[in-house]
This record gives sequence, C-alpha cells and structure tokens, in this order.
Amino acid sequence: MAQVRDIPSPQSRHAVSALPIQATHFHEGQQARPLDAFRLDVAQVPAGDPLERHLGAWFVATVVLDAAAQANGAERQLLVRRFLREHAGQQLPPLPAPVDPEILSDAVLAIAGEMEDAVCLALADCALAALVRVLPAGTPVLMGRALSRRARLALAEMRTDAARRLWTQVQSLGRRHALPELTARAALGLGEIEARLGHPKDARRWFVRALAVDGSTGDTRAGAYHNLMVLSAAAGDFEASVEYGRRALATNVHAHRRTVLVHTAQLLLDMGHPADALRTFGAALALPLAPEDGVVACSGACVAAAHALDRDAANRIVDVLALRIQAMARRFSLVPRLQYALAFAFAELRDAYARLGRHEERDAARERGRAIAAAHGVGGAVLRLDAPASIATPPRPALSPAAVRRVLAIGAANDEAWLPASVS
Amino acid sequence: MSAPDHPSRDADDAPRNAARVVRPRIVALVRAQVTGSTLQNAIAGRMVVEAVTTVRALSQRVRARGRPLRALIVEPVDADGVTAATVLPQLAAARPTLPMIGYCDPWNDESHSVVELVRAGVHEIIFRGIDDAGHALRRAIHSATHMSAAAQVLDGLRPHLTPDGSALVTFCIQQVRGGLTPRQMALGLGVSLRTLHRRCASSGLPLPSALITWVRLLLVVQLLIQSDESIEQIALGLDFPSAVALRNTFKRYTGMRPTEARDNGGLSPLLESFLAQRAGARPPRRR
Repeated sequence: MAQVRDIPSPQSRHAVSALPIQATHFHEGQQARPLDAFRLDVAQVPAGDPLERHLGAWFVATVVLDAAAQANGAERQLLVRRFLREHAGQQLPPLPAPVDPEILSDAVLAIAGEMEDAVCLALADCALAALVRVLPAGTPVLMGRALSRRARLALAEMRTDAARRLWTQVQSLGRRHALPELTARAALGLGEIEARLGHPKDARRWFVRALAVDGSTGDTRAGAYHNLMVLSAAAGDFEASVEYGRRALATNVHAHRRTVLVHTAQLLLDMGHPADALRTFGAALALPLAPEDGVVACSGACVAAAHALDRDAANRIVDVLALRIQAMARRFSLVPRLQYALAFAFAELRDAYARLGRHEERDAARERGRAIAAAHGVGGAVLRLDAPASIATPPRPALSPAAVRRVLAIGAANDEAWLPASVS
Repeated sequence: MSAPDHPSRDADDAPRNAARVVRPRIVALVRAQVTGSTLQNAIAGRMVVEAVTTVRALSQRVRARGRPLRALIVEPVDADGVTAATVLPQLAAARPTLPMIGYCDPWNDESHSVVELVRAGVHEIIFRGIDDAGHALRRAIHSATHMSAAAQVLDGLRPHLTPDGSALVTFCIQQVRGGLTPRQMALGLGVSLRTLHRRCASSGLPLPSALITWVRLLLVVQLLIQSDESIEQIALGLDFPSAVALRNTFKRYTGMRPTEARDNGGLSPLLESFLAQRAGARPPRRR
C-alpha cells in the first residue's frame, strides 16, 4: 500500500534560491501577486527546460486574468474575452453578448490543471484566485469548484490552515445555496486534511459523510472511495481497502482513476501479487500521470517486474523505467515537495536491482537516493535507504477467497498493452 | 538600422524651477520611440524617460552620469533583435541598486521572454495595455525599488547568517510590507510560535518581533538611499503608524535618526549594529 510519506516542511522551499529574492510562501490572508507566484515556480524549473515556454504563457494568462479581476464593467469583459481567445482558444459570440461564466470557469480550471501537473502550484493558485474574483455573483457552484481546487493546492503544499479555510468557505456556500455538490466536495476536502494531519477516525467520518450526500458528483465519490481505500490499507484492513479501490475505479472518473490504479498496484505488490501489480502499474503508466504518481508507478513497477518476471524480461523493464526515474529526478530536482518521493523511488529501484543481482547499479541507486535525501533533509528516505535491500517477495496476507478474487479482478481489468516498445 | 537614441523629453522642456528640483531619470529600452513617449506621459512631471532602442545604447546610458537614475525599463528584445536579458546581469553588477523592470506585450508571443527576463533578475514585469499607464506604472516602479532595496539588504546580511537564519531573514524581507507579525511569520513558515523562537535563537537571530523590526529599519535606510520617497511615505509603506513612530523606533534600536544613518555610511554601519546586537537580543525597552 502507498506508505505514509514524509511531507517536506514548507520552509524547505528556502533551499531554492536561484533568484536574487523571491517569494517563499505567503502568510495567511495574503494573496500572492502573479509575478511573485511566477518567481516561485520559475525557481523550480531547471534553466532551459522545455516547460519554460509554457510557464511564460501561463504567467501571461494569469496576469490577464488578474487584471480582469481588478477591472470593472466593460474593461473586465474585454480582458476576459481576450483571455479566453488568446489563452484558452475559445471562439466567443460577438459583443455585446456576455461571456458564459461556465466557459470561463472550465477554461481556467483546465489551465490550472496543466499548471498543477507541471508542479507550478503557486501560479495555478493565483489563476484560481483571480477566477474567484472574476466570476459574477450568482454562480456559487463555479465559485465553489474554484475554491475547492485552491484548497487542494494548499493541501498539496501542506498549508492545512489555508486549505481548511477554503473548504469551510465551500461548505458554507453549499449550505447557503443548498448545493449538494459543494457540500460533498467540502466534506471530502476536510476529510483529506484530517487524513494528512494523522487523524484517521475523523477523516473516515468526513469521507463517509461525503458519500452520504445525495447529489454528490462522480469525482467526489471516487475521491472519497480512494481515500477510504488508503485509510483501510494503512489500518491493515486489506479486504476493505480492495473493495473501496474497486468502487473508486467503478466511478470511471479519469482524474482519480490514475491515482487509484497506482495505489491499487502498490496494494497488490504489498499483498504478494507482483504479477498483478505489474499489470496494474502498467495500466497506470499508460495514462498521463501527475509527477508524484509517475515516480511511485515507475519505481513500483521496477520492484514488481523484478519479482514477477524472468531475469531477462525484468532487466529490460527495469532499464527503461530507471531511465524514466532519472529523467524525473533531473526535471524535478528543484521541487522540494517531490524529493521524498524521488529518494524513495531510488530506494525501490535499489531493491529491484538487488533482486536481479545487479550490485553495481544497486549501489549507484542507493547513493543517488541518499544524495537526494541528504540535500533535502528527508530523514525517512535515509532510513529506508540505509536498511538492507528487500529482495524477498512480500508474504500474502490471509484474505477471504472473495477478497482475493476481487484483488485479482482489479489487476486483470487493467491488463492493457503498456510495455515500452524497447521491451516488446 | 535602429532609430537614433534621444530622450523623449529633455531637461530644456522642464519648468524653470527645474534647476532647483532635478527630476530623476528612467532609462527605457524600447523598440519604437513612441513607446518611450507613452511611458513619459504615464509618469509626466515626476521623472524623465530616456528612451533608447538598442542594447548597446542602453548600456551607455545606464553608465552615463547626470540626473540620478531611478529605474530601468526594458523590452525583451531591442530594435536590432538583440535579447535584453543578455546585458541585464552586467548592468545589475555595475549598478546593484538599480531597480529593473521588464516590459512585455501580452498579446504577442513573448511569453518565453518573460522567463528570460525574470531569470536575468528583473524586479518587476509590466505589460503593455495592462499596467503601463499612470498609477499602475508608478506602482510598478515603486515595487521594483522596494524589491531592489530588499535584495540589497539581503545581500548584506546573507554572508553573516546560517542557512536557517538566512531563510528566516528572507521570509521577513519578503513579507515585511504586508504588516508581518511573529504569529503570521510562524504560520507562513509552517511552524509554531515556540519553534520559530527556537529557530531564531539557534540561528543567532533576535526574537521574531525584534527581527521583523530590524528588517524594517534596514529597509528604511536602503530606501532612503535609493528612492525618492519621503520618510513619511517609507514609514507608511512599511507599516509604521507614522513617521514619528518610525523615528522613535529607529532611535531606540540604533541610537540614530534615519537620515543620520543614511548620511553616515548608509546600510553598512546599520548592518554591523544589527549583527553586533543580534545574538539573544531582546527588543530595546521604551524609555
């Protein structure tokens, strides 16, 4: 199961100081300006990275949106139209027809999603904050969605107070306007805060409440099932965990599917089903993954391949995925919050090499992981790297036959052609 | 062939009493002279905009003596197609206190240039048609000046600080304009107030409240040196209740008045004073 991993403390961001002076993070109630957010994100992208071009475009888009938020009346309409035309590629009806707020909201949420996937969280937050100010009164659902996304970004950076404040706003919007979608989203978010703070009972209560709301959306249900899956696995209740994972996948929500697949694969691996885990990791790797999930999926697939396949096939898979892990380590070398996942990935890669008897690569992977962990002060990863490499297949926990069938069904359902071309 | 370089408005155009009040200048690298005129109109009566169209002319004009140079505004590329970002680090080294502002067009495909400008060290970015007029432009110049002053203070302090101390001071400098309190500082850094106290002590820094005040005072002196702002404007910009409160705090912490500190060597003596007092120091008591 996905283990509870160290979250780098916010102050570790100070390690990044590529610029003469840059925003670090912002104290409560203070809204970052687009330029400050941009500086923060630029500092996390290595110079010359292809992402720079997108980053510049996202910054300009955020500036235009922010300017629209500060303007009024016709000027705001003009800026919003230009934003949609130039940055979201939208065809709009001619003036004076007003812009549909839903189109604007969808466009900003899409751009913010791209920023988030590229780990540009500060700029994404800034764009969403501008969206909240631009949206006209009488659009509580859209406002709630934007606030909810902002809260999720805050939680990703472990700014739990800010996340709680934002989700409480979503909750009160839902209550005031009788909108079950927002009520359920807020319950899910507040549960995630409790889970991150290490309060599983409170978290479970919130997730169950989110599922009980009549009229919640598919992605909220998927999120609640997924979180219950993680909580159950952490509590050692694999049967319940498997069942929640199956329900989360049954919602067919793309955004959650990829994370659920990664966690399910990890669960299968921990339960001693490396072949099924490998297939499920493969299904996840075939999807565009968020950086955290990508790192976990690659390293997990290496371990699963080392346990499930013959030596030649396993070596080929591990070689391909090791290159991917190294590329991600280079690309995200300046992103503090991913360093634990990267150090941990090298620890798993070390295990895979050890299982395959490739001692030189095993030691190199351990050293690389240790270097990352030492540079970013992620002690948990150092402990993991200093422990002996685990080469034995994990024992299978005692499960009911029905649960075993469900586990295997999840693996089989995601048996997709995914092997990298060089392997096949 | 690039257009000839000349100031958009020369000293001769100034009112007769200009002999007594010398308006500072801004050097602007723009591809079209008309853009220089637009900038001049936006800050008419306060500063003189000297527009140049090539990077080479920009370097010469920045190094030239004359009116005090208050800021630099640069478009990403000059009239000859040379990237401005290539020359900015040299200009920053030649004039470390010079605020630099990037000037981009949001509707042309200049987005990659924004990254280059920011990496080259510009303190602010303004966009054509969005914040290049009137109050917005003046605010951008003001903000760039503050950023530049903050960078100066940080550069002065950094060699004397531990990495953690440097992180704490960076946070203070970055956030001090938003009315920073120790509690907000702890929240922003994701630690409890007690942990913040402990971190300050272990880094050899004063208690958070004293640290915040020291950072504000260091910024005051640097702003007195490199901006046109009066002591009242600086006081209000840094969240002192009034100029009197600023003077009193300054006197209590340093034994000097702000203008005395500026005239007696500027930032360096004040930095020494801070570094001498920092370890375990509590805020001086009011008399």
